[in-house]
Amino acid sequence: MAPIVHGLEDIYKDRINFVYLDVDDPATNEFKRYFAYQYQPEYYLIDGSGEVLMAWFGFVPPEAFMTVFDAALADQG
Amino acid sequence: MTNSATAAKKKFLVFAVILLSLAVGACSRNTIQASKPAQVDEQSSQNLAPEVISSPESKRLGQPETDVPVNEPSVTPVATINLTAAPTMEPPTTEPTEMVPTAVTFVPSDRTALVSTTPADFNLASGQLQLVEFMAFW
Repeated sequence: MAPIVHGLEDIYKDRINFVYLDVDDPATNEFKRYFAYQYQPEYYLIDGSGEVLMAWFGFVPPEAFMTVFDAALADQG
Repeated sequence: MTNSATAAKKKFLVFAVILLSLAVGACSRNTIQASKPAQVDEQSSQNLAPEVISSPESKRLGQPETDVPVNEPSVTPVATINLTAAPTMEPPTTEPTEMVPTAVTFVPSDRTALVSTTPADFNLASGQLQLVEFMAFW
């Protein structure tokens, strides 16, 4: 998935902030608890206030990301 | 004694002897027949004609006499069992399902340039749309 997301980062980098948290890093445990992390890879699209708009687990086609990204960007205005 | 009396006596004796011999002969024949072993003719025993047994009940009711074979080998009716093939169980048909990979394929070449975000620099409420990815950097 990283290649897909990484490829999408090039497209949405000016509008969406892409964050990559290392599951092996103990410093990410707080975020793991916040998002109820289970197993990698997990993706969470959050808005400006930190509220989770969408979550994906495992394989996700790039079109699915783009659809949600475009919708979220449209709602944000 | 006169000659006629003597002759009569002689005749009587002869007659008695004859009778006695006949009686002895008859007795001996009977004993011989009793001691003779019974010769069984197998072929004849099997071909004995069936005797007609008429039940007194049938006679009273006026029913025709039923021919009941007596000497024929008894035929025991054998219950016929209809063996039906058990219904063959067809294996459950399973439609082929599309394999959708759920695990991320690690591509080292793409991840070499990928840098993890420092957790201290990550702010949940940044005011901007953010895509957070939990991944393993190994």
